[in-house]
Amino acid sequence: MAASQAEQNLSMIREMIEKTRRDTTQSGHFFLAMGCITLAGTVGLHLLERSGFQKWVLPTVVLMAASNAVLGFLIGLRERNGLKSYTKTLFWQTWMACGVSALLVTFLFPRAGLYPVSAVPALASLLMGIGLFLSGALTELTFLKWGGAVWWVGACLMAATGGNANFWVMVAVLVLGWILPGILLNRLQRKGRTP
Amino acid sequence: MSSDEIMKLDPLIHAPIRLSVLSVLMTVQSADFAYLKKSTQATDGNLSTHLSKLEAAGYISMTKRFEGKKPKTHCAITPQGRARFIQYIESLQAIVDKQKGLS
Repeated sequence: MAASQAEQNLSMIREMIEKTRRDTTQSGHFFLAMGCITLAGTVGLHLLERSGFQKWVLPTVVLMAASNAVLGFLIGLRERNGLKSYTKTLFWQTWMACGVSALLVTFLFPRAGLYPVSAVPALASLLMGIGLFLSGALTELTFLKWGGAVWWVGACLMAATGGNANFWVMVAVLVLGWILPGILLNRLQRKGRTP
Repeated sequence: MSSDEIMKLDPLIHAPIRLSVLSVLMTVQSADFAYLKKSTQATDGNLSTHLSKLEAAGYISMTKRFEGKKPKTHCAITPQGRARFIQYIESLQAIVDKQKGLS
């Protein structure tokens, strides 16, 4: 009798802990939304450059960065569910740090003449790789760490090739390093796996 | 449960709603009142009473702050609460193990 009640209590505790952990799991909406916007922006930039509308390139990059920042903020707000965990806090702060650094790398430093604009995609990819790798470490999800590695390999390829090839490398990196992890995260959340 | 075993279990934790609250708080940094209410399926008044008891015992801390115009209560487990909860789980496990040893 005593043992059965104790077992019942233990199983209730386990259930509550599992449910709470499930509720703190990060969804893939952040990666999916940012990946789709950046992919659309990258394709747009490529088309603008190819059709000679150079003066629209910078406004498009600004629009893409602003959309990502606003969307990231909104997704963060939407995913608030009354729970605060260290993992969740560190996840969002990691991406805030990477986002601010990416803005500096993309807009400020090339204008200050630190490096040519053509170096921006490779440098920004390094930062995204750091963000994704750390997200993987925080959530204990290996595929996010591999996503980080995809960004680093992409950065190396962009540095090595340059020009038109950068577009295709960026498209591949966005699909494999952002959209795919987003889909996998959503699938895990639906299955109820806890990180 | 035998009276000896009941004596060993912390009565403050043993109540189902308080047990659920502490299980949630063991997992996170903090949880707000609305989340705890949903998790425990308790009424506002009932949950408030249980939270007050846990706070009075020093097992949880409660902070009230405004988010926009709405006041929100956030609860977090204290080191003492964490230690007592672990002790409680160990006591339960000991009861189960003892029973398994007998059978």
